[in-house]
Amino acid sequence: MQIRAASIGEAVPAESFDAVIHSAFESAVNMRLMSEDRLITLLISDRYKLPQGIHVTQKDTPLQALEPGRLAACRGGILRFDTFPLSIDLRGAPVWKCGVAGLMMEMDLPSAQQAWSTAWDVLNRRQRRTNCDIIADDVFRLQAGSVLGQRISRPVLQLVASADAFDAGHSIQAAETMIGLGPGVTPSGDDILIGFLAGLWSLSGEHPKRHSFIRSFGEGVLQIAQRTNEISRTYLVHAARGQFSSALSALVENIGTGGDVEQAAQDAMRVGHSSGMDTVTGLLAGLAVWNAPTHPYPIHLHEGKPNSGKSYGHIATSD
Amino acid sequence: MATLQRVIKNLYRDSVSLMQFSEKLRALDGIQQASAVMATENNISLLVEAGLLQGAVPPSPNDLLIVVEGREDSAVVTALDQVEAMLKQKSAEPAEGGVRRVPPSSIQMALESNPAANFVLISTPGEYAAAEARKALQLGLHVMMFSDNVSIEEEIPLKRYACDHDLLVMGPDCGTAIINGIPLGFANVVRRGDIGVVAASGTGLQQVTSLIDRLGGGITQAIGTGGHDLKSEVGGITMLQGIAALTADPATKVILLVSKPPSPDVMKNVLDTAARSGKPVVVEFIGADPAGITSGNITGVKTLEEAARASVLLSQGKPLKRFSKSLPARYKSLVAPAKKKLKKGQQYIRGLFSGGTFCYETVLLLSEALGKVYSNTPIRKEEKIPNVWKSLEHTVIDLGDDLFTQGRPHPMIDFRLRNERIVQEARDPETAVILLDIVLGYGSNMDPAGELLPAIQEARNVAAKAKRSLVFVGSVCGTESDPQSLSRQESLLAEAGVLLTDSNAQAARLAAAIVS
Amino acid sequence: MVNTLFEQDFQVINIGLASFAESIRQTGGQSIQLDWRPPAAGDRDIGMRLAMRVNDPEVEAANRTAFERFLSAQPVLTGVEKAHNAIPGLGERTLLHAGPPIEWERMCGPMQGAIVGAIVYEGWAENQDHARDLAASGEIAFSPCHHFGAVGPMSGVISPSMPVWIVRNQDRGNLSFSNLNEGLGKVLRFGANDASVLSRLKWMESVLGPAMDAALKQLGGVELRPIIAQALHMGDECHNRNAAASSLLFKRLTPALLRTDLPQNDLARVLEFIAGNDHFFLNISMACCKSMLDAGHGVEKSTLVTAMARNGVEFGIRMSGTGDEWFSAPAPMVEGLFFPGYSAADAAPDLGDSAITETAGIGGFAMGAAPAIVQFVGGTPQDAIAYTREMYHITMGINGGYTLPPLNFDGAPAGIDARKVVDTGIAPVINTGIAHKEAGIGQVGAGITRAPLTCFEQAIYKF
Repeated sequence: MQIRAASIGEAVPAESFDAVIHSAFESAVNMRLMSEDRLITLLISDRYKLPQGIHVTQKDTPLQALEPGRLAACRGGILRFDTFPLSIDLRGAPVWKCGVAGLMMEMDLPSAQQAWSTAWDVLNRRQRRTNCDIIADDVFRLQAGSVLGQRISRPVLQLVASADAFDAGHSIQAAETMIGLGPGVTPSGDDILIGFLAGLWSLSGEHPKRHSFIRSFGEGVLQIAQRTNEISRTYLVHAARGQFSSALSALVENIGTGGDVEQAAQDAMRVGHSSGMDTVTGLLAGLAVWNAPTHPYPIHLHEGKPNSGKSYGHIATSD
Repeated sequence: MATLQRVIKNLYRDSVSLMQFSEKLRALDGIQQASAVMATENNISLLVEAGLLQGAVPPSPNDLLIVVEGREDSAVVTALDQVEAMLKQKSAEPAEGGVRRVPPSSIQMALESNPAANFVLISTPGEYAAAEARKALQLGLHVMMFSDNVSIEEEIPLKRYACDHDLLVMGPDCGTAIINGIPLGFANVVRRGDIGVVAASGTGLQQVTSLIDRLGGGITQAIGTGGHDLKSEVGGITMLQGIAALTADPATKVILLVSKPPSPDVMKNVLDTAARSGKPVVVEFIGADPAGITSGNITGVKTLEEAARASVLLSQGKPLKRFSKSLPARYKSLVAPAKKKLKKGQQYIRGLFSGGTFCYETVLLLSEALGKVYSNTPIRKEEKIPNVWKSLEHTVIDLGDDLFTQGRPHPMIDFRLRNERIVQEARDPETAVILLDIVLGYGSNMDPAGELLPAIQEARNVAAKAKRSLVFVGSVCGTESDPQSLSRQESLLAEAGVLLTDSNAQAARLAAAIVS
Repeated sequence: MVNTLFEQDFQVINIGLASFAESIRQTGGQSIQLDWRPPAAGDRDIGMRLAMRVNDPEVEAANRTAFERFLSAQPVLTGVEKAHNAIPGLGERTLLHAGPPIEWERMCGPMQGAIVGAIVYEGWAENQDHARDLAASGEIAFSPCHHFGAVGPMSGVISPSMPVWIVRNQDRGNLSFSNLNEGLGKVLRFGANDASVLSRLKWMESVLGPAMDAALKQLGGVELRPIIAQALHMGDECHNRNAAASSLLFKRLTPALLRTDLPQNDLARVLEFIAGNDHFFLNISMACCKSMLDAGHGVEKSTLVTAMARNGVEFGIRMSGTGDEWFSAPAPMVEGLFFPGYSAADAAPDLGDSAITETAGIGGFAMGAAPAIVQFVGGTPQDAIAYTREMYHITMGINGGYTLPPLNFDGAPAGIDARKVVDTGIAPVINTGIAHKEAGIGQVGAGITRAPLTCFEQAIYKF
């Protein structure tokens, strides 16, 4: 049977590609592109979109039957699978683009800060309620209870501080200790990095210095992305390019515009088990960079300060 | 207390199910701790720090690492076995594959087992070809229609649909093409290079690509359009698409177009598009005046051989020279000895062709040199041969004409008809030169020289009885890599005394020189 | 852009001269040779209409809708009532029969026998001769079961007083019906119509029917797809083999029957009757399939086949997008194994509405799950799997609810696409009983047949 794609992400090759089924879940199938070291994802979802996603809304699409190793190929805009009675028509499907990189967020606006605080509260409440390993508040106060939380706290703080100082070297160093860390298919460390990059991209605006920092940091993240699994690596690849999921984009946007942050935060956190919450943790950390003096949250940056970095108050206005 | 770990290769389960598995593990008898994580470097060191892993294991980020701590080894091993079985349950290879592999009987069915197929080659009887082409296009596949007898009314909507969907329809009646180095239909095995060809004529395409190969050049793509494409009703859709594709193709340096002269509106469109390509374009509109075509990046040429030569020179970055109309020296030396063999009264050329374009080009060149030439494909109406079965003065016959192929394979495959005709011409006291084309490549007869030699011998015997001798002139269209091997075919024919030239045009000129 | 072709591996589907496929392989390309014949036996008009519909976005969208409705159906067996009460619009003197419409004169022997029996059973005529005259007189209306949401095996004759199963699709609310299975031997559906047949029918009307209704009311209805799904795991294909499904139903019904106030004698006879009939579930299976397919019927432009049925003379199909029209061809003969003492010469052409099971993706389509069936219809268990695999090529998808253990729990092929049937030339396989051509002798064998391709070709032509 043929299903029409409801939309496709901007990073899905236009009309033809070859791929191998990499992994299949109940509502998503990952396919490894033969021409590039990344995955694209066939996703059953009404609203959630991915830059590498082919989105279908047909609920009963039998995706789990697509065993890893089967071939997939797209010709003339029609995606087909080896010996499987399903084809996806990509022709004419609207292309979804993530707008995070063009947002030009201004975090010193009171409305944005208010929105940030709301998101922060929602996040921490949910993390505590679901008994997560990583609870943002504890991480930033270096008071994490779980082994994973303890382990990830310092690198996260170092990440924020060195990004604030435009110190790509130390940022990458911090990322190195986070990458691949944590349970699940997208380890928590990776999710935080992805969210963090989303925060940075949304703040990049027309600041050349921020741009060049994000580029070198992104480049560094790509270098070390080999240390995590392919699924997570794909998200990192897109994050480095400024491409994020629709849920994360919507949250950033709502923080920027003072929209329904609570709902957007809930939507973004609902992804995976802890994945969504970890990503939002990273995002809110990323949004705290480059505008610290007016920032509502007292992030203890000095705790994670890189040795060579300047003091916090100093650099905040240097941009 | 016992702790054991296990790595499961390339296993991806969503975090929720991994958590559930970990919980199930912990709930098992005798198990204290369990963890299932992707085996990344950071996760491994985390587990080491937590005391769950004794020593570091080599990281393999795409694999799942399960660590279980329990009271004793046996409980831990059981738990690990259990979890592995649970995790692998769904990903086991199907015992007999998903769908039975019966031979596919429709395009859609073929796609079910070969989703990466991108091209459909159709050689069904013409009446069914358009429907199959339509299906292929609607399924997003490019098409070559080898089939003929497809009406222009069927061709136009197919090509329009294809054009709107960025797909190619080569044909109908497209005898040959070379895509990505693969010969399709009747085609020669030609070296890959940087010349891209679009041709409306099958044998024309074979001649230019074979000559390019012979001259040391190579091709990127050779796109056939089919014979009706440049009619004004069709508007040259495929040729225009072909030019655009070759223009955009970074591997193509030179573009070569081959066709009979199109209708004026189509010609203008084709030349405008060619002019815009920004690449050197060689145009052979067989029979049209090259001077009217040459301008800017476009070079008009007169023969298929010139087309090949010009393309190769351009691809090598060498300056174009003027092509001489007269016979090259190496062939000139053959003229006098051949003339000497002929008796008075032996004054006419009899051309027996298997390739339509070879025949047409020969008629053009001979008329230019000798005046009146009768043919079943004449350039002037009054030179239409009254009886195709009997030659009249200079006669050049296309044996691939529908008239001859009813209920019989094409003369490139089946030599009987041509062989009979060779002997028939030998009986005619006016026959001086028998002019032939020999086409190699996939699809053609596997040993054309072997087929021709007995007929040539018999013809010579017939002539000898009447105290005459005959001159055979021909050219072999093919390459060394063709299954028949160019050099082998040429040496067999040369041994039989056939005067061979490299190209069809030179063969015509040599024949003309012998009778004039 | 055409150029993408230049960047891809070149994989050719070759239709026609096989030597072309060979030379592509020899020169380093990949080619797939089609085992091609002109579709629709070379009818160019149908061929072109088919081609225009291949991957046509409108048809694909319609088929998705129809297929989804079909697959999301939740048929529940809700009760048993007399046909004239249960079936909306059933006229006073109307007899329903299997297959596409047919007049009395053209009916096959078994169907005429069943009609005669039903007329006497209803008391419209005193004896068989009068019944025959009445049938020929035009006073009785004959109509396909399918026109009333009903299905019946073999002659499929349903008269107003007969009890019928009522199946309701909880998803869309549509109702479907089937008569109650009489068992094997001398039975009305094979055209037998003597006193023993009629008295059994009377007992079914007065005792069995009400008992079943009472039990079903006790149970609050029985969901049918789970029973079929389970039976497929127990060696049934729910057309020609219903041993497991009948047992599963028996298991559900018995405790409920014991809670009804049925007299002990009746109760015992009812239980014996069900226990003694391995095909008891067949009619329910058919009504379940009808329920699902009716849900997918009537979607404009859809090529989902929603009925395949035979009246012993003609084989007819209906398609979702062509409304109530039938596309018919002469009913084929069934190839199979004959009971001792019978041969192909005794057989009637293919008969009955039971091909509704294949239409819905079980029966012959799920034969791979029922290896024991081959003892009955011929062939080997491997053949049975091969038939199922072949059917994937003409269906729209798979029914994830009906998984087939020998096929590694792949879902059964589901939703026949008339386009694919015509394009591939693969005719739907049907697994069926063989009736004696004369009335009243009964079943003489069982075997396999194929739906005639011309039905599907006409449907595509009409489209």
